[in-house]
Amino acid sequence: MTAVHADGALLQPAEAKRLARRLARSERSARLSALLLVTPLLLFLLMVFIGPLLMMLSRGVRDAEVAQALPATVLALRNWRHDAPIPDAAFRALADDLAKAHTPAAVADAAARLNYALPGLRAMLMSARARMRNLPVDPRAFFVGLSPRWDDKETWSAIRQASGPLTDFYLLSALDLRRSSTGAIEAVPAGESAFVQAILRTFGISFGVTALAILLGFPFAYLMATTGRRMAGVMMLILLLPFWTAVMVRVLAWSMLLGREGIVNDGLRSLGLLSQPLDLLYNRTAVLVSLLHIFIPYMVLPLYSVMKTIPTSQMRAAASLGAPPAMAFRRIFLPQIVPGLAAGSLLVFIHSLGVFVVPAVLGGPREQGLPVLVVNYVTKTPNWGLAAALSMVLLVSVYLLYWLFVKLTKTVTPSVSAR
Amino acid sequence: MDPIVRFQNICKTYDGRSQVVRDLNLSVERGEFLTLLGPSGSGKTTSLMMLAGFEMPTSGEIYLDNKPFSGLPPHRREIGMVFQNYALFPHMSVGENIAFPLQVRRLDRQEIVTRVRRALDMVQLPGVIDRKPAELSGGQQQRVALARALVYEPAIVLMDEPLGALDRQLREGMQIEIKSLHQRIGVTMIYVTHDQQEALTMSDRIAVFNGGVIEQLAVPKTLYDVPANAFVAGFVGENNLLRGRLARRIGDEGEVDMPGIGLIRGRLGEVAEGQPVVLAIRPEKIALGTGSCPPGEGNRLSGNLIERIYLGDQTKLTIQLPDRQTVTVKAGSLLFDAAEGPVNVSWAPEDGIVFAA
Repeated sequence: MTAVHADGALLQPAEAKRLARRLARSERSARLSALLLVTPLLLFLLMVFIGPLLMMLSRGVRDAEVAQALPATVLALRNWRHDAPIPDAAFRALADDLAKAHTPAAVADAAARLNYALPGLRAMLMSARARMRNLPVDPRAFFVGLSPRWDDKETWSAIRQASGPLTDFYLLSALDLRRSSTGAIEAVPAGESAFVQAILRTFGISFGVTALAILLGFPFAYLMATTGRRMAGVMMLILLLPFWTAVMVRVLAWSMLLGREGIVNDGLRSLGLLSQPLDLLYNRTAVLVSLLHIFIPYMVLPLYSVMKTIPTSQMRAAASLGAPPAMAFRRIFLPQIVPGLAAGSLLVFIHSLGVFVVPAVLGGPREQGLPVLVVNYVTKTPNWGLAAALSMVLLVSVYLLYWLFVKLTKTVTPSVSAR
Repeated sequence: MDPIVRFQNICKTYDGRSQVVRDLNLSVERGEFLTLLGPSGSGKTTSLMMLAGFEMPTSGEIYLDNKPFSGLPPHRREIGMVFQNYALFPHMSVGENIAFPLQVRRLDRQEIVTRVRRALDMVQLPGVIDRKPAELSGGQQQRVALARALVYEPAIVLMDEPLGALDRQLREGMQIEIKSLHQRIGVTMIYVTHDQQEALTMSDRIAVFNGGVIEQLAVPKTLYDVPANAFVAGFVGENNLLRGRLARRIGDEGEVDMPGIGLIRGRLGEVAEGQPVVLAIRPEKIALGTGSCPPGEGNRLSGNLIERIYLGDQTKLTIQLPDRQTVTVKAGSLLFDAAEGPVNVSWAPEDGIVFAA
């Protein structure tokens, strides 16, 4: 046997340079046309997704309200340290600032922001502004006369910490942390806030859904990948049929099924199996069942597609080489489907993390996770900074998971069907 | 000596209507290279799969060393197998692939390392032990698959069209290598292929499958020179199959009547007078005479040269007979210059064989 190789002949330097130039030119035009093809979508995403997203997230670290409404105060407090006495200059500057604020609206944002850090500060500030007819002779006496808390260093610490332009206040709050008046990071008192609990709850539910999806999805995908074409088609239809119905519709359907007056309870009672209706709704089970129902295709499809790439001959080869079925499964089949398993788990987990409708409709108070809180802070009790910080926690954890996924799947070579 | 494997009255059907394998009886001798040859759907692969344990016979029994075998699951049969698409494990390195059957058998580490190296040397593939199968060429992957099937020294190695995916040059090289490997280690090999050239090159014996039955089981030379019937004559090597009617028996020869041509003599298979028959004559046994050049002795036919194909070392000529049947003649490449038009062909009567049609 002789192999004939057509090795490229070595070129003269000048000729090589010309060739390289021509190559670069042709590659450049190919790149340019590729760029033109993606530009519309890129612009669209930039405008309606990436831009707004960054703007929203930036609210989680921006702190402009206080500096805008009370510029002199911020300036006066710049060099003040917590262990020093409150400077007279600060009282005077605050009086100045408030005197310049002709309407309540001028300090409303700042007051709201300060109230997040120190409850009651809004009322103190607003009433001080309201009484500021003309500049007091002794600002310190004026403020302390209004409220003894004006003599409290914590009040001034809160103002100083909120003077911007950037803050970690919201991010710390999202993790149940805060800065003490001395500036050290500390945990908020127990019972005051429960964001960490909500985060853990969100992760717990997502983890549960993912585990259940693997448990139910794996055998389904395996059967689908190994059975005949017609059976696989029917199974695919069963899997995808619910997929074509809107999530909202399915969630409402579940609530109709599981309610105290719902179909399940009515059915069981009319059969005489129950005297009292069961509480099937507004609990963890209802949320898990519904999430599983919504997200199981995200587990089954990647698993199926990976399993499909493993030819039967490989399992047969393992058997002919002496491996009993369980060993062939563990050593040949399982390692090759890790990428599919990881992709499916990632999809289900991340989707479950971000879901809002299901816990909001089917869950009780103990099922409300981060997304529900975020929506709350945007619509019901507006605190966009906190909403942004909570979103950031969610986003960062998703990226951490993705990073983990990449790490995990890199250790296993993607299955290449040997031809 | 007792056969190592014996198929006894094996039948196999998948749908209960058509039989893929029909009443198969076949004995495989210890240490031989037996090829199951046949067109696709002839039952050869199914027979191999039943031996490997991946398919169950519908009825009948397979014996290994005279012990019934078909109840045993595949992983306990101690048979090596090489698959058409190699079936290497893509997530394992070459070394891990070959070590797999040894690890399954719980050999100790040092022994495994030694044996893996020896197996790779045996298939002339040292230095790829840490590569992944996907990084190897098709031929190299095939060698790894071979090493993996041989490393635990099974008494029987099955091969299911192992060279089907390789290009022709590589395939021919591998045929020689597998054959010499077989002679060196003395393992019993059962080889499935649809390529009759491959079967002739490699085998000690060949079983020609057609429609679920064995048409003929013989050594390559017998198969080629003395095919048992028209199917084998047509499937193994090239053959001209001329249709006619048996006019007369003369000892072990017969005269075939071909309308418009006349009587042609040939060796007789099992046919009765008056029956429609097929006369098989190899293209290389036919002599060609053009113009004034006299044809040889024996059967003489005249016809028209209608096509010439240049094959390099040979020329393939197609001649149309008066009854519109065609004969193919293989001749030296000098004859490529023969002009199209009237020609004479001839062959010795004992080179043609008459079969029932």
